[in-house]
Amino acid sequence: MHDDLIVSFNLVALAAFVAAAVVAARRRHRADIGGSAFVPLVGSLLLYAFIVSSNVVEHADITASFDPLEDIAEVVFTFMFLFFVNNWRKDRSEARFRALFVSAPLALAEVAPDGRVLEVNQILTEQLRQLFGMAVADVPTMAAWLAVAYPDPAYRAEVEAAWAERVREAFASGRPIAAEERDVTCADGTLRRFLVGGNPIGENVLVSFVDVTDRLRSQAETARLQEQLLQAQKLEAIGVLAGGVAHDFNNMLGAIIGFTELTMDELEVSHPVRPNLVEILTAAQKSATLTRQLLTFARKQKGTPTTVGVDRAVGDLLGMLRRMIGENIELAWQPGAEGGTVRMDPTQFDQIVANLCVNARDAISDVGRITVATSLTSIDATSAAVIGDAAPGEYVLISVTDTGCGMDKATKAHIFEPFFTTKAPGQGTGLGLATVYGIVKQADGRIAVYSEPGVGTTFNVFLPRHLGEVGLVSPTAPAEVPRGRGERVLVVEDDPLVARMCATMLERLGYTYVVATSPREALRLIDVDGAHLDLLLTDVIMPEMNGRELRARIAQVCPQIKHVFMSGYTADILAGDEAHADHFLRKPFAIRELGVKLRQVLDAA
Amino acid sequence: MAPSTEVFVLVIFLCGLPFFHAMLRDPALRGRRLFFLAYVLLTVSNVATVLEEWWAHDAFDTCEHLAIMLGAAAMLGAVVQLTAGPPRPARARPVDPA
Ligand SMILES: Nc1ncnc2c1ncn2[C@@H]1O[C@H](COP(=O)(O)OP(=O)(O)O)[C@@H](O)[C@H]1O
Ligand SMILES: [Mg+2]
Repeated sequence: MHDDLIVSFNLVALAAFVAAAVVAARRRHRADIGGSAFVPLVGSLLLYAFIVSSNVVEHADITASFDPLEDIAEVVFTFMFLFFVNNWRKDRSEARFRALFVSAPLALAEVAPDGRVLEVNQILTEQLRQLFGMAVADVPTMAAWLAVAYPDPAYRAEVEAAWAERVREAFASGRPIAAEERDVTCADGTLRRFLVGGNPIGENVLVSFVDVTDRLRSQAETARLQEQLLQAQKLEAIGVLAGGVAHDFNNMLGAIIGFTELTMDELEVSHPVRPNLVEILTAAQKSATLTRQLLTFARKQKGTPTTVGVDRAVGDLLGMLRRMIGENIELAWQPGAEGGTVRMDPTQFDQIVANLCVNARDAISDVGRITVATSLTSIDATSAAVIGDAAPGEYVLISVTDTGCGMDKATKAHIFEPFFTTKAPGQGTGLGLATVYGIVKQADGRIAVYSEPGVGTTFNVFLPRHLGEVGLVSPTAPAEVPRGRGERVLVVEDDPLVARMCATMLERLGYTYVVATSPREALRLIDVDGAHLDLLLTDVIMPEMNGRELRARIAQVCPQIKHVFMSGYTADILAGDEAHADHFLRKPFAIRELGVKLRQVLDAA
Repeated sequence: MAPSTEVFVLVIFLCGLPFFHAMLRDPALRGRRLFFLAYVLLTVSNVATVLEEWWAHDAFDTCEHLAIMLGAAAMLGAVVQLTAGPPRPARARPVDPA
């Protein structure tokens, strides 16, 4: 009874062991095990099958005995099974390494201690083909690879020595081989930057290659764009600051000029104080020019845009430019923008060319050559990024090249800032390029500089090409100062000094006036006196309300009233409204300009 | 049966245990728990073999062979698990020595 039970147990066990061996053999390809694990597995299963069969024999009262054999078999089983597990685990990690080696997004090669290349993964195979035009078989050894990648023997020797040293260190410390950046020469002669590192595996070395060329390139590109942006923002900020200061300054200069003129008018021609006043006037007028340049830089100065034929405008300037740059410097003119026109203030256009030529002259210490060239060009999306994010489209390019001293990077970074100059005090104001920058920006153009210290400089100015019809030249003003006929003018000006000056000028010109120092006061005066007013002379930038709004409010009450805006700014409030140009007086203004403007507006239908 | 050889076999089995236990740590080895269980059961059968020489012969003998049977079953299960996966991926192409 007992033996029957034992026999049946063992028969079941026998069946299970044999079945396991059969399953293992038939589905071997599905398991992550190689021959070294598979053989001991099946071996140990069959061995135990033998042991249980011997148990069956024993308990079935068959006389033969396998006892000693059975014990030996059990011992062998233990070892064999141990073998299986051990090899199985090894296979497993080998399989894992293989998978990584093949699918890692990294170029890898396994190299033997003698320098033989044992295996190369897919990515490296691909790179060898693409960059070096080689098959894996073309680089059987590390030496063959080095000869291809580093054609310069000196550099190759350095790379080789450094690599050997790092491999030695890695083996000694058990750590990965420190990665190093190397410039590898490709089949087409270009250099690519690779990060070469690795890991010791067993006695071999697993070498990894990472191509960092594109990453470095895009980093450099990002840095460049960032710098460009910073530069533009800096100039913008300076512009706002300078514009603000210049605006106040302009008002005060206006008062100085105005009052000086008024005083001079009252003095006899032979009066002893008169020469002093003339000095004051000239100084103030010079200052006004400076502030106007600042306002141009800050793009607060509007100018009167007309259509400028570029080649013709530059051609007209040549005489003046020749005189300006002197005899030692040759001036070459290469017109190439036939039919190219731009829409901007002609004086401002001249200012661009003149300023660039003056700088070119200053850069040439002795003899040299300045070339002014024009051409028609279009900027597409790709080149746009290069030229400081210009909008793609048709442009006229004006380039001024000199063979002067050139600039280093540090200087170049600052040239468009107002008051930046490398010239001796009294020689440079540092406003030339700031003005150019302001004008070009206002015209939606771009400016690019190429300079090499000791070689020369090229300024490229891109101005959007105007494709409309040619504009009319505005008529010149009459010589006489036109006088008032007792018309009543409402002056609105928050700066009391300027307000007082306007009042005095108006009186002198034969007008009557009321003065309001704020828009609110002006509106109150209109309520009282509106019917008797002929003209509104108002500042544009004021607290509470700007001049334009004020005019609109007043026009509701007394529609007959005419208006003139006066401002140092031609800020955004007025920009883009051509109709207002006729009603606009730039501060500071002389009494004559005021007279002309008032008459012109009052006499208009 | 000479008890001394049976004790020797048991010792060998016990010595193997820690090695098999180590494989439990690698979760990527399919069927590892059942392989370990099978080995433990076979070890248990050897313990019973040694004990049956001294007392309760029949009980321990039954125990011994029961453990072997269960161990065989575990072994079959382990092999089935091990070979249950999909065919494994192709290997990387080795360098052509030519
Ligand atoms: N063509 C050029 N060659 C070399 N340096 C130049 C050139 N143009 C401008 N610069 C540099 O830019 C600076 C600023 O120029 P700019 O704004 O015109 O002011 P300024 O001429 O009054 O110094 C100059 O001082 C000079 O250092
Ligand atoms: Mg200058």
